[in-house]
Amino acid sequence: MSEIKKSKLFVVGAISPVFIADSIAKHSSKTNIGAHSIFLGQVRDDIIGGQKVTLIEYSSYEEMALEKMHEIRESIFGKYELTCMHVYHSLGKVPAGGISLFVFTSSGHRRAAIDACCEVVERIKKELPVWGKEFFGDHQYSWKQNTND
Amino acid sequence: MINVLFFGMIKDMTGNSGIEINGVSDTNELIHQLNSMFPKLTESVYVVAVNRDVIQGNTQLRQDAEVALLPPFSGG
Repeated sequence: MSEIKKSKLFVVGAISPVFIADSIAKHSSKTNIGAHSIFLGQVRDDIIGGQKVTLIEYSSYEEMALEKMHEIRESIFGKYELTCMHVYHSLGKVPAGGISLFVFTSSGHRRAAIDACCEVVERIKKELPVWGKEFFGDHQYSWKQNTND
Repeated sequence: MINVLFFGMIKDMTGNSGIEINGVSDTNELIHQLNSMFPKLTESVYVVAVNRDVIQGNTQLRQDAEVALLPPFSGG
């Protein structure tokens, strides 16, 4: 089966570290892989108006996000010699300290995996129709804004 | 019937996840009508997607189009 497919993208709630560990373990049978690169986005307890962010609630235009992710996937596979690539993004509530984005690229040699992983993360931040609502204090919230760093 | 979808802070502002609009033939006419229904929309930052593709400039709309107003993305 081709690795370029409309695969599962969204996970409800935080992405569990056990799921991430299992994903790594599943690749031990693919012995042509020589390098993995992993990016994990974690919900940070930013201070807003003197109060700590306790959770982010993610929402998406899911049909568009799936189409866009498919487009990103095809362009990344066209540009880098990857063995495989997996991307998971949270929907719904993720508490501070929880993992909300998991990007996992694998290749024969390190450079392709590392560069592809960075590019996918940047493109997700810019192009994927996902919105984060940051909750702080007593039921207050503000809409998250992505930065370039 | 054009299906209009709102997301993120625009969904908050309109108090709706979407509405159906009749009698507009392009995105300029649609935005004009939405602005009169939701005056705060004129102060909002967003891009427009027609059938899940972000458009640049005025775009003709088929009567079964799905139009989405997308505020700045903040995933990850």
